[in-house]
Amino acid sequence: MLQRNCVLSLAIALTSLSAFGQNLQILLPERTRLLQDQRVDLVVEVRNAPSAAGLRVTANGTDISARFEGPTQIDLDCNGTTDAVYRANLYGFNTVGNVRVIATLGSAESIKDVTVQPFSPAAGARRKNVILYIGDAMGTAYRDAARLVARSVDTVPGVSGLREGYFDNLLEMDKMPVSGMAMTFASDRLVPDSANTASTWSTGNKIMFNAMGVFPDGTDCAWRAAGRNATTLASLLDNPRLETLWEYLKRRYEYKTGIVTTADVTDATPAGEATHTGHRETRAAITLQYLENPMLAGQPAFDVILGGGIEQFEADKRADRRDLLAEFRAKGFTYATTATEMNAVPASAGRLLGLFRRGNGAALNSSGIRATPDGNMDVAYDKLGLTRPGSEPVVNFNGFTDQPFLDRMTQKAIDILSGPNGDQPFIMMVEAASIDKQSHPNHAAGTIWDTIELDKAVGVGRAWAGRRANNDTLLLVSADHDQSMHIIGVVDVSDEDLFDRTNFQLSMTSPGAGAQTARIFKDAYTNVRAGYNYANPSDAGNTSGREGPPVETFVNFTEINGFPDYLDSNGDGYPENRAQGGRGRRRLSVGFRTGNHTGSVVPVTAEGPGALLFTGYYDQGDIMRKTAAALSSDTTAMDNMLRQINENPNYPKVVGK
Amino acid sequence: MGIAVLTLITLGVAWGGSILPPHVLSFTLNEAPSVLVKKFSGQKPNIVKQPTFRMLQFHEATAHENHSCDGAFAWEFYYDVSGEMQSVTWNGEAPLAVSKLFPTKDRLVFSTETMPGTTAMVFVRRLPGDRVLISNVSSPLQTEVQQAVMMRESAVGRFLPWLARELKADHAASK
Repeated sequence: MLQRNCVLSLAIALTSLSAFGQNLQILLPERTRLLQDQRVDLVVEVRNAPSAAGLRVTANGTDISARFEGPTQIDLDCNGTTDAVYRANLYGFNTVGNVRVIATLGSAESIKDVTVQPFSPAAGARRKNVILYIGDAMGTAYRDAARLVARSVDTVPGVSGLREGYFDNLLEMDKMPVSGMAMTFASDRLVPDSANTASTWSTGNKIMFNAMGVFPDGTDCAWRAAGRNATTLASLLDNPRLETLWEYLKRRYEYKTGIVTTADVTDATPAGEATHTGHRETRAAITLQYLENPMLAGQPAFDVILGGGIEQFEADKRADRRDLLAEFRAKGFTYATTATEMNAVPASAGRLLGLFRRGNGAALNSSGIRATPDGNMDVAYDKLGLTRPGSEPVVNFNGFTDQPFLDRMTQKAIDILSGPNGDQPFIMMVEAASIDKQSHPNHAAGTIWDTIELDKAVGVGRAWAGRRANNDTLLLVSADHDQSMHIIGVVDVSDEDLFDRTNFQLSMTSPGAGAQTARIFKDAYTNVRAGYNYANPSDAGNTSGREGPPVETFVNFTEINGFPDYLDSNGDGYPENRAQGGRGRRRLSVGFRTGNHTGSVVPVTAEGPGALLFTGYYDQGDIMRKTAAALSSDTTAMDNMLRQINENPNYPKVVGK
Repeated sequence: MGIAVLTLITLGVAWGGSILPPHVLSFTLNEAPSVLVKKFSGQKPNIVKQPTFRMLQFHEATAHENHSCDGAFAWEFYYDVSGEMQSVTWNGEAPLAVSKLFPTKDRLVFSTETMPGTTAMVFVRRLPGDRVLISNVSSPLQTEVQQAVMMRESAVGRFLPWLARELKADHAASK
């Protein structure tokens, strides 16, 4: 019934579109919020007008028409009509407060209100640094799982770190003094992706699903209908662009900028800091924008780029045949391909490009706009050499056996971005990408250990910031969006069962679904997957197309009392997920509702100057604006108040902090 | 604790594996949304709503291990304001052989400069029922493609005007 109603409403909605007739439109969203002089392409689309000449545009009454080029004739909406576009590229509003932009052409008019936030640091004020950590898909339950696994290990030999419901030692991200929650919706969708969310926290505005640093426009129909490829690339890259905080700080204040990720470096989360495209798949164009950024007069967007994705830089895997590795080196980047090489790069290097993985069998995709598959780095669980549970795939490093861990990458990036004297202001983003990439196929071990890897990188940043003479580094930890993992309980599972790769089949017959067959592994009790005829009817095993009962129907799950007792025998902060001497069998049980993103709010934790701004519930775009406020204003009073709250012996202390 | 299973364990039964996705050539461009949902075994589509078009997007009908979930849909169906389907785009996880999609005798090759310094080349095949099949390629010798677009030939001029001009010229030359 739901499906039928859905398709009926689609038909009705399409029929009513024939009455659409707006003929002048400023391409800004309803709630556009910008920083003072944050650059945006002002685009005015003109439809169904007999003559497109004579556009007048004012901003709070001031005539800014001369900034516009056009009219350029174009077919908007792919309907065969001749329309026109005016553009004022890279426009910045210097007036603070509400700015009313009015475009008029003949009798047609379009009005948009823009809110402009001040950004005027005091002359001579010390510049502050920003490290934004993103656990991709790291909603609350993911942080919980990492805490339960990593912090249940002994803090004293023989004494569990989780006793009577209290942790001896919380995660690094838990110890940050301020927390809030951020809503992550796209401008056109409840459940977002990494592209629009990264663009939202970097530009301060809601962005459409799959897009990066741009607003929609009337030529999107071309790539929507004819695919995303070299033929439609122009319509993918002509959208109105919006400057990111990374670009803004580099352009105005000569900040050093960096992206550190365990994904392909052109994947959405790192790309969101400085690219502009209608769709995240335009990887070749994204790589080019890293080298020749349009907001920075063609200069590189970043000073440090660390992650995977060699293929997007290689001439034989690019349609334009440009050797971007050589071109980055020509612009002063030191190039590293292994952890060993990265570790040897001195802080005086200035610029560093580290690419530690190429996708297995990578080649130019026939679409012409990217190489595939992605060259994501391998996950922490595999880099550690741990044995995967039976239902999770065994890694193929394909020769890339010297990949750095995220904490070492973070330290190296900080060293280079802050400069040899540590006084160069910088902003960087650090991402643990495979919390998400492992969660999609419901690989619990891969997901949880990647979250632990992120936390260790947070520890590096906290330690560095804590050693600073001045409180000059804002640390933020958040997620782009959530996924569906949740904490179920604790189960007792032997290594023999956990690592058994022999699956067994279960058959069942249910009303409506008919005869179904599912494949179960013995690690099912630690990882209650969505994929047993649960939330994804198209998943393997369900031939009916209908949703079936959850896995608890197949497997008699029994939770036990007590807490996990993971062992960290070598003390490196990563439990080995192995039993020894009768201990280590009590494992966390998690479950997945789907293999997709969710629309839940995500946690934000903050430490450093202006951290108190990040308390409460807010939109993900507010992360950018709060960060800007922290950077541009004197936060001494609120920082002192926060210190008093934390250090006052009369106020309760949190166990484990 | 041992595993206690409530339902019948069937040993030795070959697991059915993933549901095969439809082939791009199986579409007529006349499919209503309800027909598409059935063709994708009841998978609920993601619907993109814009004032002048709607899209239905589906994943390939396989387990999540085998497809990217980060916003990339394997199948995208474009309906314009009239409610009529104009195109279907297939974005494949595994490539398809060019010889199966564009047999040599049916294959047209066109190229154009889409942006300064960027040339795009396409294979095109005319199909019955006002349809054309289009794939971007990097060389006339390409043997596999990972994307194919089936579009109404009468609509090509709206989305790819340069290709419409080429097809018109080809049609005139073939008379």
